[in-house]
Amino acid sequence: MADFWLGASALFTDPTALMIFVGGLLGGMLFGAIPGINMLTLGAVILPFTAAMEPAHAIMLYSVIYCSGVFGGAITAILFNIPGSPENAPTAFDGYPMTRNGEAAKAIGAAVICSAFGGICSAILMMAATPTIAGWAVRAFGPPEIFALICFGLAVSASVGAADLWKGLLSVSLGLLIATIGTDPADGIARYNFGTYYLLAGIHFIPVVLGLFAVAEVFTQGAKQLTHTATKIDLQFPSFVEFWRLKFTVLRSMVIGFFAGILPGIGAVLAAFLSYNEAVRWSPKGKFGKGELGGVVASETANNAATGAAMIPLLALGLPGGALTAMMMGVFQIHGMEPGPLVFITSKELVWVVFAAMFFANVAILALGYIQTKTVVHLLRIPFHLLAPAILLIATIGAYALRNLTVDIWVMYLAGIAGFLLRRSGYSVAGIVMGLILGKLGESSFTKSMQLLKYDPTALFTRPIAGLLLTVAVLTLIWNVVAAIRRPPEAA
Amino acid sequence: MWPSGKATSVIELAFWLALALVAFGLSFQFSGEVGTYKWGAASWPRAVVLLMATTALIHAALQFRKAETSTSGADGDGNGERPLASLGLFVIPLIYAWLLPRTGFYLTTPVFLISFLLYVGERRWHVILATTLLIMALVLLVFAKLFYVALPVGNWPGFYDVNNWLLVMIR
Repeated sequence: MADFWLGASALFTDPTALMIFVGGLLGGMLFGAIPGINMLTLGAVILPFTAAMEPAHAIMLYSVIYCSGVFGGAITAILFNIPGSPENAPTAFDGYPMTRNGEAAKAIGAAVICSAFGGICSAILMMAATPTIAGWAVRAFGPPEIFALICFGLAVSASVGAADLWKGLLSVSLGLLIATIGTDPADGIARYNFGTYYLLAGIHFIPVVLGLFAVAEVFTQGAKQLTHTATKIDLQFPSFVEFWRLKFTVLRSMVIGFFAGILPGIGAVLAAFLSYNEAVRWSPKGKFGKGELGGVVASETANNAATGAAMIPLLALGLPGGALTAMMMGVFQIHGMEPGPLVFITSKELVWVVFAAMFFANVAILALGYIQTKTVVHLLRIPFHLLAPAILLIATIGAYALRNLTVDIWVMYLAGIAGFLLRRSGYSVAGIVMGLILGKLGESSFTKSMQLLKYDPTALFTRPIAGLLLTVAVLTLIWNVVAAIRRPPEAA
Repeated sequence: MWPSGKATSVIELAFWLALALVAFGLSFQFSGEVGTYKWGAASWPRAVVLLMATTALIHAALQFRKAETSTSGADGDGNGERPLASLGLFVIPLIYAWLLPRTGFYLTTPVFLISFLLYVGERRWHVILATTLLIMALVLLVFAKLFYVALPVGNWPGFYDVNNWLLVMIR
């Protein structure tokens, strides 16, 4: 506790540190809210300038950007079906239907509260348990366990947002097939690239997400003769009773987000997807995909819970779990430092300034939510037919700016058309995105697992965690298949 | 009207099986190469294709069995929509995407914005011009001036120079 106050006082008594803290907070929120230009863009742009900063300030800046950036895209996801960042994509699954049902204020309120709650709890756990948890998770979760976790996620995601299980499975398999475009993870052999080197790097999921969500939404609204009702939006926190009903969703999402954050390569994106899947699985009567508050709560709690946890392997073991933490690793190296157990001894103040900054950044999300509600949400009052070209334009820039490739714009628009057609046929765009995101990691971890287990798939069941996860995945799928066969498609 | 009932099921089955067949056929292009991974680069895509085809067949069988009661559009998005109107919505952005690398972002975007607004039914010229100017101003301020996002400047003769000149003026 004394260390925390030491870090907090170092943060708040130093005007430069305070300025960097506020700058990171607002910058992360802004970049998180703009589709395509996410917190990674900001992190990459400012990386060279961190050389002139104090090491503690530079690392603290990235940690604050991480917290506010993960939250930043939630409000645009809820209001416009445009996830500002991939971490907020599952938020749109139910957040946007809530907006269409006239419950935008409540969805935003829930996102703000849950993001702050998830982030604060994660920051506290991060401070309390960094060395112990990092050691266990990194030892216990190898490729077989990650593959089993992915299987579990895919089994559940088939039941999200589709008219029936079969359409859900087809949506997921389409995403999995798209994920195979590029090169294979073991030997880099080109697959489905049609002779063009543009496709060798694969289909990036950001243009697909922009297409399936933002562009498809513009097409859908356009096909409906562009009727859009401008409503007054405010910040309305769900009642205590509503939150109490969702207590298990919040706790479960916290746990999922925290462990997903610790595991290298999983991070906030998969935390949000896995948590959303679990919310669906544990609430069979919920109207997920049609405006269920639990969907917003699950996604936003988990993605922010992952932020604090992602710092654990970085600081405790020097193992970055994602792109932004890898940039932080770069910042350490720019300053001639190596993150790892020794950092807690040699740079104790730095560590606790970072911890304190992350804690207060998550507290500040409550204020950020209010600021965003009073600024960004006013865009909703603009008639949709005037807003539609702006959405298409921002999405186009977002897709292009990712890798400066025109092919990404094509991917986005083709995904938009596909999303438009698939949605009206009862397929799940969420399932496609989950298949695409989980597919790459799933194949990679399966390949490594098989090489590790001498090409014996049954050996996956001899590992306790992998075996348990795979068994639950199979049971979930069987349960869903039986339920789908028993009931007519309309009721699924 | 959008196709519905049994016709939809047939179209959907044909689509998924065709996709699976094409993906399976193309997998032979990389199935021969064996690297460090014994099962090869084609094993995972083929497993996905198998899952896709099997699911499509089961789904179609169940749909045919319940043909009389089956409907399309799970979330009701298909109600009251105009397929031909949607075609125009698709075509304008696709033309824009095709033109972008050729005629450049700075010259093509205002034309795209005006075309799109006209297509979706806006006829008030002052609204069209004000919307186009506002969107362009904001986009240029944020992406070209503040973030220095490298947007396409075109490769057709003349367009490259004009786009670059505009970019210099903006920055």
